[in-house]
Parts: sequence; structure tokens; C-alpha cells
Amino acid sequence: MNNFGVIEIASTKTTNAPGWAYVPDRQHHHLPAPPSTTNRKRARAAAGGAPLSLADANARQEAKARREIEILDRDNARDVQIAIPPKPGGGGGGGGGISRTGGKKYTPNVRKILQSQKTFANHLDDYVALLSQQEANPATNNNNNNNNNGGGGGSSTPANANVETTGTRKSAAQRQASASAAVAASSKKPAAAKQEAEDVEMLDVPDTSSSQERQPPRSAILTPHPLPPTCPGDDDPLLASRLPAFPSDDELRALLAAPPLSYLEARGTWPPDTGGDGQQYPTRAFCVVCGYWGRVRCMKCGTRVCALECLETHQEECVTRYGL
Amino acid sequence: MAPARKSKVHRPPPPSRTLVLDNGAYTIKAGFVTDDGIADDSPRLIPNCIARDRDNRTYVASEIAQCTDFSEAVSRRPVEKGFIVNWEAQKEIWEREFFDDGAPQRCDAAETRLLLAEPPNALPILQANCDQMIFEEFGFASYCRRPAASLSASTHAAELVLLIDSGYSHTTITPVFQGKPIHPAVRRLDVGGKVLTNYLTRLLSLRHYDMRNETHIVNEMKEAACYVSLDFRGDLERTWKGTRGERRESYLSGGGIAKDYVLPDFHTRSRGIVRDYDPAQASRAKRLAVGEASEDVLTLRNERFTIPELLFNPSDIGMRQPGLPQLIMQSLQCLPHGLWPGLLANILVVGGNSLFDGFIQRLEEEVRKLVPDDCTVRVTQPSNPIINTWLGGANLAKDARLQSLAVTKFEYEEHGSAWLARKFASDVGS
Repeated sequence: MNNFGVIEIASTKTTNAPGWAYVPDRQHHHLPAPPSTTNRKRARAAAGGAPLSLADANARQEAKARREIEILDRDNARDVQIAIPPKPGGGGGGGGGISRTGGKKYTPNVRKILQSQKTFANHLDDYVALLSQQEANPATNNNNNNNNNGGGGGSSTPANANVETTGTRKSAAQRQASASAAVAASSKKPAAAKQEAEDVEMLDVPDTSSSQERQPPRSAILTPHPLPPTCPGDDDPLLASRLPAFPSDDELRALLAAPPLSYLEARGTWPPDTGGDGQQYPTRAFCVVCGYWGRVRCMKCGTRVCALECLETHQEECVTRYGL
Repeated sequence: MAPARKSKVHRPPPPSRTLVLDNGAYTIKAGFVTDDGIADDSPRLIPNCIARDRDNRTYVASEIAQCTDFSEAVSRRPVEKGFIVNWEAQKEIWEREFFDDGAPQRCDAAETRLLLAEPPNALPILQANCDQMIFEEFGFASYCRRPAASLSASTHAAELVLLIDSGYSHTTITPVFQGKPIHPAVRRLDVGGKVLTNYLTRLLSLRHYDMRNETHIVNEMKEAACYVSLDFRGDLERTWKGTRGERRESYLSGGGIAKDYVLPDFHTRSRGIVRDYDPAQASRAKRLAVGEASEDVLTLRNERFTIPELLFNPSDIGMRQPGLPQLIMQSLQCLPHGLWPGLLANILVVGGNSLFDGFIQRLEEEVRKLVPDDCTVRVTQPSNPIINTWLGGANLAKDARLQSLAVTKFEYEEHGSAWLARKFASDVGS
């Protein structure tokens, strides 16, 4: 019953291979105490209780929390397969199937998309794999790029200055610098345009900058607003309000031209620089029974409860659930 | 990709109608705009799912209105995390709603332009799938895919808008400048209506009845009874029963927070009812034998406000993400300070979750605490936050600009889907 000292660590990866896969062992196993000692503490230490560091415990807790969140993210409580019902008026069955009853045929792309049973998690894994593959061998990027179906695999070579026009993806590290680098990129525009010119089909990038520069030079992008009428107290330093200077046109253009983040990068995360566990304030703990503040822990499993009454309720379950 | 045929030079005339589609994970918002600028006043809301009830009857999309018994209903949703993933189901729903004979909003795709709203940070492969399906399967005459945030922000008069879209799958923060999203500052919180409903289901199943298979009922309960607390600690204190043996006064009287929710039985009541907590009734119900009780009543106490609280403190369920106010700050950190006053004064909240009572006030309060106190913080909400993105889309559809943004089927066949992806990406950015 012991799982050979393998401790599950937190990972975000999900695998869906047709044959077999490594999956984390999600069952709680209790290691049998070796009979060589009668000392309780030594027995526990020998059984592998003590060698687990705090970090291991955290990893397990984290994995548990992640599982619970995954459960919260499901559409239905149990797994259900709902087949597409046949059309009411359409002649006979097969209305929702892959094979079409009418005369028109599916194009290969459409057939592939319809038959795909991939979930969002699968697509996300594919995307991450694609990115890591590109980082591993950037040389093959450019030939990939042309026939890539979704424009998904982008070139991430830094020499390519037209990233913002092609909307391709860059690696996370490069993207951090992109906001500032894009300022430089706007000055490199002629170079980018030259590259575009070689590709005849690139009709899609309208040169918006030229039309904007025809407007008055103060700010080409902002809508001009008339100044508010002057009032007698305008010069009074006590009434003056200070605003940070609005960014220049170049800065604005660079911001707007910056490519979109990838799905994973846009996810909000705890800032790494603040103290403690990466979060500004300690997380709040609640009573698992009634939802009030979790002020005491169950001594057996460490679950938080609010007070004695809820602790008793919890312990009834705690005993039966873990067989302690 | 079709082979280039030089002989066929004449192109079909541009379509005269635009189908504006906000294909949400929970509901589709759909309506037509003609080129004369005549739009439907409001879109039709179509549930975006295929549902099956207890008797194994299946309902597709708007057929759900015929369903009378939602107990143990299960559903299949083609949209995951805001993106159309399962096209098999989505195609069926679209066909039944738009293309079949007798469809409620029937149109001929070959004579219609499609304006589709999409959430930010889509995976490229899903975008490509979407483009291919729209042209190769449905055959729309012309098509334009726009970020939902920029459509929604266009209903707001300001030049700079900080758009918060809190929907079924997630909550996104997008700063929008002149109708264009500022991509490096887009942030996402993975808490949406679905997580809230499931969390309420979990709490109720632990504390009252087993509601795990009653997603529909719990969702109605959430919409009817939950609110965002402006004083979380105080409210929590008022709903606590007290230590062992103690029953606090505020607990017994309900403290102004406890509500009774009468569950639907689908014979006499098809929807639940929220009632003020009635202590007398609670004790009477205890005395009555089980058979005599004519209605199932759930008393909601701190469930009413701890659920929407997840939007502000996702760490309450162990989610390692900052709350909405902190996430707004993270988004602003990516931008020059000069943009802050404009964005903070024009925070626009759309999406179904913003309908919780107190959401706007709480958000405004918390953001105000975090930003420099010179900045005016103003959080606004459109009159109907659910359809706001669609209204923005309808505005764009009336505009002649859409002509240049959209791609015709001819262009798609000529240039292919990679070109299309680049065009939409550059139109949004530039």
C-alpha cells in the first residue's frame, strides 16, 4: 500500500494520452509503522512522518487545494455524456452526428474540428508544448511559421521587428521587455515595412501612422478637447491640481501595438516581491462546518473549525473518514 | 484553402445584414443589424447549452424554456473558459437558432455578415478553428472577430475605459484606449459565475441538503439571494451562532442577513422564492413531522455573502490569485502613470456577476484604498451589464468602419486562415 516514497508534487500539467500516462497518486495512504521500536516518536519518524519537510506538506496541501478548485470548475457534478439529439424536422437520425445526411460535404478542416474531442485543458497543454518546443529549437520556427494553420507558432527571434503586426506569440521573458522594446520598435517601422513589401499577400496592415501624423502635431492620437474656460482662481497655487503627464504619442502607440499576452501570462498571480508567501496579507481561514473564522484546528487532520460545537461536528466525520 | 480561380472575378455584393453575436459560455446574445442602421433593441438571450433533464429528455439551447422540471438536470456547454471548444455542440446550437427552417432567428449565412465577440488572450488554435468553421462550414459572407472588451467599452463615452468583464467562466480586466485594448495590461481572474455556483453547491451540500446535482436550482438561488458584503467581518459576526450552547441574539433573529429560500418542487413552484428569515417558522418546522411540511426551506446565512466574496478574495478557497482590486492594481502597474487618472475615473463593470448587490460599491471602496488619493475612482455599470457587449457590437455594426474590419469569404479563400489570424490581430492592435 505504500507508494514507494513517491511524494506527489504540485504540477499544473494534465495529460490525456490514449494509452497510459503517469498520474499523481491521489489516495491517502498510511504507512505502517515498522515494529522494530516501541517509541512512538521514533516509529513515526521511521515511517516517514518526520522526514517530510514543511515544503512537502505545503506541496500536498497545494495539490489538494488545486484538486478542489478543479472540481469547482466543472459544469456538472458527475461526468455525463450528452449526445446531440436528432433534429426535430430533419429526416431521421444522424442529425447531430459527424456524417452529414444532406448533400454538402465537410471540408477536411471542418471534419477535423468537429471530430476533435479535445477539451480546453488539452488545447492549453498543446499550446504550452508548442511554445516549449519553439524555445528549444528556434531555428525551425521560420519554416513552421508560414504554413502554421492558426498563426499560432510565431517566430520569436528578436531580430524580427514586425512582431506587433503579425500578432505572433513570444516567449514570456521577451514579452516582459516588450512594452519598452515596442517603443524602439515603432522607430523601426520602416524596416518592418520593407519586410512586408517582400510578401505580396500582406495587404492587411494598413499604415495608420501616416494618416495620424497628418493631424496637428500636439498629439496625433488624442481627441482634441477645448480647454475649460478660465476662472479667476486658476492661478492660485492652493487650488492647482497636479496630474501626472499624459504619455507621449510614441509611448501610446507602443502600448497599443504591443502583442497580446498568452492565456497563461494573462492569469493574475500573487506578486513575487511582496513578503511572506508571495501575498500581501495572510490568507484567511474559515470553519469548514459553519463558515465562521477558522480559529482552532482539528488535532487529527488540521482542518480549521470555529469553536467546540463545530469541532465536535467535524470530529464525527473526521473519525469515520480517515479511520483514525 | 480553395484553389485560386482567376476566371471568377466578380464578387458578391456586400451583405446587407449583420448578425451580432456575443457567444458567451452561459448565454448567447444574438441580434441583427441592417445596413440602414436599424438594430434590434436588445439581443435575444439563448442558453448556450444542451441540457438533459431527469427523464432523459434533451433540450438544445432555447428549447430549455419548455423544460418544466430542472431537478437533476445536466448540461453540456460548447464554450469552455469563454472560448468555443466543442464545435460539434456549438454547430448544433447555432444551426437550430439561426440556420434551420423554423429557427427563431433565421438567416441565410451567405447573405449575412457576422460580428463575433471574443474574450482576450485566446489560444491561436481555437481562433483558427473558429475562423475555419465560420467560413468553411457556415459560409458567412463576411466575418469580423473583435475583442469583447473593445466592443463593450465603446458604449462608454470616455476615451480611456478600464473594462471589467465578470462572466460565467472568468473575470477579465482590460484597459481600453479609444476602443483598442492595451494588451500588456490585460489580466484575468479565474473566478466566474460557474465557480461561485459550484462553491455555493458545495457549502449547501455540506450544511443542508445534498445539492450536488442541482446546479440549475443553486444557480437561481445564487442569483436571487447572494450579495457582496460591504462589511465582511461584521456580517460574518452577525451570522455566527456562537460557541457551544450559546445562541446569539443576532443568530436567532437572523440579524437582517439570514433569508429563507423556498426550494422549487416543480409541481406548484417552478422557481424558488426568497423570503425574510422567520424564526417562528423555523422552530415550527422543527416540531412538525416530516410528512406535514409542504415546502422545503433552506436558511441561508453567511452563504449569502461568502460566495461573491471569492471575487475579492479568491484565496478563501485556496486559489493562488489576487482579488479583483489587487488585480486592477497589477494591471495598472503595467501602464504609465499618466493613464491612471483616466482609467480609474472610468471603470466600467459588465457581465452577470456585477449584478450582485453591493458589487459596485465594494469594488469602488477597495480600489480607492489602493490607489493614490488624488485619483478619482468611479465605478459604473451599464443599465444591463449582461447585454452591454452586444450593444457595443451593434453600434459597431451600424458603423461603416466594420466594412474595412471584416473579412469576406472571398478574401478568406484567397489568402487562407493564417492571413486571417494576422489581419484580426493587427486590426486590434494598431
